[in-house]
Amino acid sequence: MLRSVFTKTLYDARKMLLWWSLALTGTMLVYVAGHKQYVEAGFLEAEMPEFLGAFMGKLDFASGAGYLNATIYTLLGSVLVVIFALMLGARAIAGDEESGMLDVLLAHPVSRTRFVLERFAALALAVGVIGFVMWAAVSAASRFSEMDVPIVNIAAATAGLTLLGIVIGSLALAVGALTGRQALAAGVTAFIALAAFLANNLAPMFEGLEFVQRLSPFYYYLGGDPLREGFDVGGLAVLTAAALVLAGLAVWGLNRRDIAV
Amino acid sequence: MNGAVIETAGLSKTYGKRGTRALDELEMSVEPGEIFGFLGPNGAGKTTTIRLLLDLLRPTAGSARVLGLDSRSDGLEIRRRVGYLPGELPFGGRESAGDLLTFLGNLRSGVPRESVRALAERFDLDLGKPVRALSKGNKQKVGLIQAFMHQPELLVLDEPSSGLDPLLQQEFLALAREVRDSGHTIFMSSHVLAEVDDVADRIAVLREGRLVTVESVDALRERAGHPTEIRFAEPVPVGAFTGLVGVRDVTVDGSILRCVVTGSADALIKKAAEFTVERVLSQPPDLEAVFLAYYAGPGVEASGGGDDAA
Repeated sequence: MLRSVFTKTLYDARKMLLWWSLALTGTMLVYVAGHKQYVEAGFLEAEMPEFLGAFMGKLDFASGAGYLNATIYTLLGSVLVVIFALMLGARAIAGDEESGMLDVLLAHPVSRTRFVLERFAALALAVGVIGFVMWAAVSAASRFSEMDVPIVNIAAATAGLTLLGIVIGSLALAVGALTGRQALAAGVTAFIALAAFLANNLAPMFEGLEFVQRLSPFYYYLGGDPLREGFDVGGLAVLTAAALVLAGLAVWGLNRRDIAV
Repeated sequence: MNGAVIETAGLSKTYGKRGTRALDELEMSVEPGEIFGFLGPNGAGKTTTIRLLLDLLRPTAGSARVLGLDSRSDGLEIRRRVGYLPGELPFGGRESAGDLLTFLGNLRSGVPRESVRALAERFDLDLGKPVRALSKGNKQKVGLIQAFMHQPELLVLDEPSSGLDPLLQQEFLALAREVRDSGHTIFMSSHVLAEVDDVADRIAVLREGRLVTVESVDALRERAGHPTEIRFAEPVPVGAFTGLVGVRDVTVDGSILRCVVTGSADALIKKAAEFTVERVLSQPPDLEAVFLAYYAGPGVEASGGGDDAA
């Protein structure tokens, strides 16, 4: 695990990965495995005001797919995965730079391009692990509560969420690589992520602003309704491309400037 | 190898768009196999220069060649062959010192375990402790080990003795001599002359981003001269001693004569022999005084010795 920047980054993130995996699993189990009980107890039948639907997607809590879509994949799960990726991304370059460690690492025969790409790869894999854990937890819990959502569709939605996380993490990585400031990277990324979330859910409600939705990565994640329709290859491709472009931006950003101590 | 190990031409660095000039047209060359002391007060531009050499900073103007390679285009190859000790060690990870050194060695495609262990033993460092728990001095040892462990042709050390206790400082200086004697080159910065004058072959003095002087330590010693005091049996006339060859800054206080002798003391001794001499006290060269004069800036004569600067 001490072989390269890539493996060392994952090694350093192992405890964070473990805790987030446990927390995510626990949350998924409580929310998903309880669905059957919530339906039977009538918890999910209350009328919801329409504006809430704007934030939570189609309000169809009774069906498994609708419930998963609204509670897990639009809100809770996506918030958890996005925050995890954002934290990793913001510290990937800027965190080490602010501590002074980047100065030591880049004084070794490691090019800045390679450094950024290894950090990006580690970020992608770490978010991938979180995504896999989430898929496993949701799948298991959905069987337990007898949801009729195919595991493939859960995989499709989770793959989209994983890629969304990687996009958000790459954005934080890129802002960090451009500025060298961790708090700024986290702040700017959180702001953009929130704006993108709202753009996806609110823009369609306004005449003439529908195109704004197309700018949001959330649209390419959930727009194809993966829990009902399965893999949306086009959407996943757009997210992958966005992550790669942001990684390229990070490479460019770090190569063009002085390293701070 | 032939030619200079480090050569800078008009190397300049300005921070920010309209910021201060941290380094102003530095022209300097370091020869193979020497220990080169890079001196100057804090903020003189020493760290800036070092980080420019390693391509961590990009010059505003001018260029630097390290081991015959261009610092900008061949940075990777340079960093492969150079060992670097940063001025501030950030080590704050949970990993052990040994693991950190293994990792850093792997970034150089591996360093013999033996080499790390030998250096750790020499500096009395416990490799099993987490780096974040190490004291400043122990972190400095980790920094020194990672700089020396791959036996680089050139060592670039920013304030290597800071944080080390006197015993370890001696150990470091001994290591530096060994490395030099094996033909490698050491470029080390310091703000205290005393830290380098024992080992350095040449020193450069930097002030406010400008190179003030480059000199061999021997020449510096020569120029600094030996502060000398002669006690006579009775008061002596100051006029008898002024203008002697190799004698300057003459003062007479009753029967005590104080002066600085550069080069041979022959003229002084022969003149003193005309009077009754009770005691002669000659001190080692006061490099610090010369050096402080360089620090103080233009207008202050870099003669040293005469005033009580040190």
